[in-house]
Formats: sequence, structure tokens, C-alpha cells
Amino acid sequence: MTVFKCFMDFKKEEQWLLEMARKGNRLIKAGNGYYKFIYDANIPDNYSIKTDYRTFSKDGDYNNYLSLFEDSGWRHIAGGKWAGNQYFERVSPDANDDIFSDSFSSAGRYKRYSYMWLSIAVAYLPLMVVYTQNWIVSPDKMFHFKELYLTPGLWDMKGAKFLLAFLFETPFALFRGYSSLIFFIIILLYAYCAIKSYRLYKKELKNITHQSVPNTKA
Amino acid sequence: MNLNKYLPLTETTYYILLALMEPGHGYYIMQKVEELSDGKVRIAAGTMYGAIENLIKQGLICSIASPDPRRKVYQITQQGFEVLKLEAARLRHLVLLADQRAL
Repeated sequence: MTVFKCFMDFKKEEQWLLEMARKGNRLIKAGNGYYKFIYDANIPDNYSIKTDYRTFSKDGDYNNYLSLFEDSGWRHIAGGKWAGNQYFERVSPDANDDIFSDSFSSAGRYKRYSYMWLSIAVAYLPLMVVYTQNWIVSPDKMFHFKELYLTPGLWDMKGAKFLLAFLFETPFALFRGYSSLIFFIIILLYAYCAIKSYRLYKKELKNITHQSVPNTKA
Repeated sequence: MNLNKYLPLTETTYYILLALMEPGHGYYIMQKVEELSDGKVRIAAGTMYGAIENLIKQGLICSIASPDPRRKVYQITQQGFEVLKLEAARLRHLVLLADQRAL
């Protein structure tokens, strides 16, 4: 079955995936906002499913990363070189309970996630600037609703003729007037995601319950 | 370059550098560190990968030619070795102080 769900917090996501596993749903694929499960009645009691966030530019680096997990007893279920979200399930009984043994590395994935949102938000900035420079989508047109409609003589038409012309042009007019607003909203949304992730990063850094070995940060 | 900026090393980093005095891949480091610490320090995979990345960035370890295309092999660098020696000297001094006081 496929479930559509969005998580900003990796720990909550892991918890949910474990609950699904307890009910016999084994994760086989995951993407942006969706999860695919198959029914498996024989999921062991000590089943563990964890997630990391990391992107790679070279295949060699990615394979190196996957091999490290494989060697230490964690099977890679889902995730790609560019996708970021990497899902692992424990297959070896003497592997650690988690793929992170200190809070610094567990927090690191929130930081990487946060930077991803930030870089997209920043990428949209020049786009927004370019669009607002263009005369078609200037922000001051937002306040002159009638000017958005370029059909000559539109406002002089009457009855059914007017309604038809008006409705036809409305989507174009809305785009002309308000697309810069869309960019603005997108940037705000992505910046919000970046900030929320960064806050979770800071919170996880202080989480001493997630520390089974001394910190690796030199 | 003043290597003292890398001191004090965290316990886990100290173990990793010790392990990499012999070349090895990521899982080798995990196993060696567990062995060297008598099972007390068990670094998990995600943590290990991050630690390796950090140490490479700091120039304390480096990647060398590997017979296995799927697994990179790492080794301590000259700089890493110098830092390890400085840390060992720092620890020896601390132990000496403890011995003098019969701790």
C-alpha cells in the first residue's frame, strides 16, 4: 500500500515507520511525501528502521557510503544519490540499535536538510527579481486590477460577451498580476522549512539521551 | 601550522586515528575501535561516515588507493600522526599527575 505523509522531523518519521512495521507493514520504497509498504507477517520483534539525510555528487562516494552501512549490518531500503532521504533497516542482530551513536551526528542530518531548503529559497530570489523587472508581472499591477486585463475594450462590453471575455482572460490576468507574489510565498515557505530544520538541529545537539559513545567531533 | 588547535581530541577521534595508523576502510575502523576500547566504544555507521568526512576535511586522514571500488580505504596523514603524538604527550602528562597522587 502507498501512504502519503510529510515529515520535517526525522525522529518522528522513524517512530512512525517503526509503528507501521509493528503492524506488519514493511517499507520498500519512499519518495517525496509518499511511502510504499508491503505486508510482511514475519517482521522480527527487534526490527529497527532508521533514516539519514545525505546527498552525493559521485557514484563512488554513494557506493562507499552504502557499503559502510551494509558492512555494519544495515540494509538500504530506499533513497538515491540525489534524493537525500536514506532509509535503512537492521538485518544483523549484533549491529547497533541505531545508525548514529552520538548526538552530534544525529543532529547533523537536520543541519544538512536545513541547508537544502535554504539553498532552494536563495535560488528563487534572483528568479523573483528577474520576474518583477519584467513589465508583465510587476508588483504594482496588483493594485490596479482592471489594468491586468489586456483585452481591448473589455470593460466596455456588456452581458454575456463581457462575462465570456472576462472569464477567459482571468487566469492570464491573475498570472500577470500575482506571480511575483507566488515567488515571494515560495521563498517564505522554503525559508520557514530551513529555519524549522535548523531549530531541530540545535535541539538534537543538546540531546544527551542520544549518546551511547563519546562525541566524534574532534 | 599550529597543530594544537586540534587538541584535545575527543576520545572517539583518538581511537579512530589510532585505528588508521594502519590503512583500512570504514567498517575496519568500526571494528578496530571496538577492539581497542574493549567493546566500550561502538561507533555506528552514520556517525562513522560523518567522522571520516570531518577528519578528511581537517587533513588528519586521507583516502588512499583501494582494491575494492565499492569501499574507500583511509589512512592517517603525516599531520594526523603529529596531532596524535601531541595528544599522547598531553595524556601522558595527565596520567603522570595522577600517578604522582596515587589516583
